[in-house]
Amino acid sequence: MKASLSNNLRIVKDLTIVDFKLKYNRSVLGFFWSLLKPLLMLATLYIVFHHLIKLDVPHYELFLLIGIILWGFFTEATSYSMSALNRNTNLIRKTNLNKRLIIISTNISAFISLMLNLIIFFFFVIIFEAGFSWHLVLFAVLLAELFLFALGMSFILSALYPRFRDLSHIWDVLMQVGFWVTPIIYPISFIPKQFHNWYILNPLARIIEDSRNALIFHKLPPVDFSYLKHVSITFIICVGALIIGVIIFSKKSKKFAEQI
Amino acid sequence: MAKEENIIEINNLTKIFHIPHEERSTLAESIIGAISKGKIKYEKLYALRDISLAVKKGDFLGIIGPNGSGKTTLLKVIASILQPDKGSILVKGKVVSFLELGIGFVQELTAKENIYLYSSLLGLARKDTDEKLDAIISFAGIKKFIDTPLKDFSTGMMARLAFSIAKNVEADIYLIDEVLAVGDEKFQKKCIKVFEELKKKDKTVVFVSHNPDLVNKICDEVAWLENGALVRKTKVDAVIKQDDKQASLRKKEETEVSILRERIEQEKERLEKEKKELEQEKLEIEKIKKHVVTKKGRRGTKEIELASVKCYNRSGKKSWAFRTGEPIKIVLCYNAKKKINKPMFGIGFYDDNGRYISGPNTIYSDLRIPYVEGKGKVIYEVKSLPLLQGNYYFSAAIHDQSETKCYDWHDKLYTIKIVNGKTNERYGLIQIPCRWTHKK
Repeated sequence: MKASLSNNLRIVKDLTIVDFKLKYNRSVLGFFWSLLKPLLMLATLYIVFHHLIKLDVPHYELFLLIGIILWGFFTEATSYSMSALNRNTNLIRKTNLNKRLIIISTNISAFISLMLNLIIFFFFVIIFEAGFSWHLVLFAVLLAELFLFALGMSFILSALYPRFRDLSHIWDVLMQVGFWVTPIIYPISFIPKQFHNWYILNPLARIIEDSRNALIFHKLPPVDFSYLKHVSITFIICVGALIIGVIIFSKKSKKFAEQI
Repeated sequence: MAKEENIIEINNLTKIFHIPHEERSTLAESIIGAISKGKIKYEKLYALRDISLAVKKGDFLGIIGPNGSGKTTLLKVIASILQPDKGSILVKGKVVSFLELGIGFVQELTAKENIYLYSSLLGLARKDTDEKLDAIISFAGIKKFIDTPLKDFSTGMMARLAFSIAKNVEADIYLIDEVLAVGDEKFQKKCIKVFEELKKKDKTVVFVSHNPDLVNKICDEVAWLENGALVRKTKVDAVIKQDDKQASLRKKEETEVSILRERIEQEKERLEKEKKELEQEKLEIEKIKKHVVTKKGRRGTKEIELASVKCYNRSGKKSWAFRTGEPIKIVLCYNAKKKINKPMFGIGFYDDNGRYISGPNTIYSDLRIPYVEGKGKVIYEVKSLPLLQGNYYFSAAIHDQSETKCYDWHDKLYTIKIVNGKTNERYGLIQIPCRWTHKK
């Protein structure tokens, strides 16, 4: 059909607005709390790992915050997408709306939250005088990668969710494990070298680590063979997840109207 | 565009719903199920069977059929919400659908926000919606509630709003499901006006209704569905009278049948009740008869006499009625006219058919009474009565040790009534203490 792209874009925009409104329950305070959540977590983890365990990492507060924010985006995008189809039963059962748009708009809405959280992060950067540099461009690339991965996982999870309702619980547990398996409270260098090839299969590991180098330490990682290998693995997994996600979702979405 | 062109073409369309015999909607269940039982068995429900239909541009097609005949499913397939399992479907042009009394509404948003959202989903730009907003609101008649969240709307209001939005969208094909069932007369009239306008604009409408009169008024053609199959398709102008008659006849029949069914059901219930009462009565009579017949009375040498037999309940009061699981104490008072060595006291329990249930005596319980002389008591105690609900008889007797000589035998002279106590068990005679467990 003609003009379907602009039409779809408009629908995504409207759905995103709806999603945002519902998420924060149309209250400014609701939104305020969502910003407070990462800060509260930051405060707790900072006290525990900086003052009690005495982890020695420069700019540990920024180091932690960026990890929490990026991880928080991934959790929110995937978990929220999984239930998005169920939240929008009317759209699915009574319209022939392209179901992909629902998932995309859920991810965009999570991404907007991420952006707002990043504003707070940069505010922190100014307060703690970490400074800015051209490495910010690298961060934009990493964000794009993260978004693709989140979108891909969202497609996979939401396509399987109508069939396997316990997936949300399983995913909750995985996310909790993931928080500690991902270098959020510690740098990747804490992991013994021989495990790195396994560790890097979690795309969030490379993305968070590189984001820190770009935003806080203003340096490029040592560009050697093993680094390039890890970067490509991360990239392949992110894009692969998206491709697999789109394929599974297109296949399963035909039956959504019957299953939900 | 030529009027003769088919705008909707359906060929041998079949839609099957798979209804699983057992719900396996979690990953854990699927894995366990796959290991233990293999494939899931499905019940195949043919929602649509081998339907072929064509609608020409500008035509109004009415779909009529009883509940569950596949009308809405057909609309959903045309709207490409559901995918057909067999056959093909071709739809040319933009489709707007009004399904199941309302459309893609988000309950937490206000009516106004929903209007914008839904218009957007239907492909209306925000500007266009701005222009049409007033028309939509006034048509739906919800002016006062424009900023009310939709969850506070009644079904009728929601349906009116949905239809009002749908009609304001420019499309080639309109799919409309039962819109007139929800509105009042005023709204129905408005709807009919809308249909007339659509007709003038040469739009195509597929219209589902329970009301054959209305379909005949609006539509050019009528498709009759039954059990998912297309029974017939008729041109309205040619056979309008006949269809009308048939439809009203069918309706009349249907109501008559349903009234009759209800009556039959009531009658059945009444009979059932009466039957039960009769049976109860019969049982009661039989019991009494048996009681009389089986009551053998007393025999024995009377060297020791059973002076009295009494039952006591938990609180030590005389009683003939007990609950299952309650303690019971039966006291046998005897009077021995002379000294008798080694007597044996016993009791026999029977159900009300005279079947022997249990026959305890003093020897079995190792109570050796060396001799009796004069008056005395022998007490039989049960901590927890295992008998289930019903009437029971018991006998009391005194024999000599070897059971060759009978001193006094009160055969089935005593009746006790048991009502259900803590237990819910009600089959058979006794409750055997037990424990159930389940392992996979």
